[in-house]
Amino acid sequence: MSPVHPRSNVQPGSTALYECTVPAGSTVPPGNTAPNGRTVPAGDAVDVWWFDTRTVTIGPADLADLDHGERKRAEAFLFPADRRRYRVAHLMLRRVLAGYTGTTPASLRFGRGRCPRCAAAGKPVLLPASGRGARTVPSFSLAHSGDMVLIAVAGRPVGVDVEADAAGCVCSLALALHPADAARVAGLGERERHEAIITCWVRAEAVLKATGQGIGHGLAGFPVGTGQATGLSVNGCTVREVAAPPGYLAAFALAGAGGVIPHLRAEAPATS
Amino acid sequence: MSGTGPGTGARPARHDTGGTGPPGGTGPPGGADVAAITDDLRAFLAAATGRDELLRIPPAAALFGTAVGLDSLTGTLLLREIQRRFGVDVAGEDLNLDSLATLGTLAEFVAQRIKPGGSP
Repeated sequence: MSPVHPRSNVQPGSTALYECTVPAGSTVPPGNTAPNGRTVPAGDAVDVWWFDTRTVTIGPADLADLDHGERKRAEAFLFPADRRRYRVAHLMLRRVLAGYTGTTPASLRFGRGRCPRCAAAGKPVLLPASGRGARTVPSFSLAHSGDMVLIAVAGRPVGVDVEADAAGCVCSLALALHPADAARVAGLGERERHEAIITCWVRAEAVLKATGQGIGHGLAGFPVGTGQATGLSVNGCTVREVAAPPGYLAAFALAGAGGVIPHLRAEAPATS
Repeated sequence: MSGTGPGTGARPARHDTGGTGPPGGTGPPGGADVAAITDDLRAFLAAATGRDELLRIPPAAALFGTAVGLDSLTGTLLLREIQRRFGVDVAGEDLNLDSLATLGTLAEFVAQRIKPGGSP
């Protein structure tokens, strides 16, 4: 496997999408062709999209693409930065997904899955379009932190997480990790420990988001490790770190075992 | 952003070992002051996130999901800090409890638990 360094191949402040290293000699399996040519990743492929909220311009007309619930949710935020990030994240999610479904961003409808442990309403899912011929509905996962939005799209359940480097000490989070991971990070120097803890966190949260299990059940159920992850098997998922902009760490998890091939998308969906 | 510090000036980021309990002047002993705890939680959130604006969270604001929209990592840090600083366990890692509904309900919950003679 080619090395994947979470801070490589990135340019801060760009709307360009950041590339994960695709293992040499690998090929991306063909998927279902969407009308505009974008395909739902098949097999072990995952599409990974990055957006920098500082470089995305949204106007009143763009907000019409959000549904009533999303607009109300955005308005409920106390601070403009949170409101803007939420709007950008959900607009970009709709535009990305619309490219796979061949529909308009505004026509997409979302529902909630069920937490496999407690049956509570779980992660957001894309609902099939009603009436039309059945088309593969992609699985997706959305994460945002700081200025960055990360979206993963796959043909089967996928989870993604991104976290900005902590402004303060995060050592207390080690207690929330699996004991094996907690022990692993305990032996590191402070700076390395902070990075290792966030590394564990994004991997574990990505796994929970892939399985649909609520994070309220905790992240301590499985070890995720701190070493390089290019196809780590965790809790029925394959975990891989994602090349992230400086100051961020990210990972995704795809349900099932197998070598995960992140599939670069080189263009951002149009912003009006 | 690693190592840039909290950026608030209100409370420096501290390494999480050797905690000495409640900070002087803002907490017990002598009875838990909800307003002081509220300020303490605000200062911690601002330091943990590097966002000065979190110093202005009103007590009625929901911390998770709406209004402030803290993520699960920051929420977990907050609960760990409450445990470390006040010795109060706010329901393990469950970020969905009623006591966590708003900044005010959280501060009141903490104050009740650390008030002399209150429930342990």
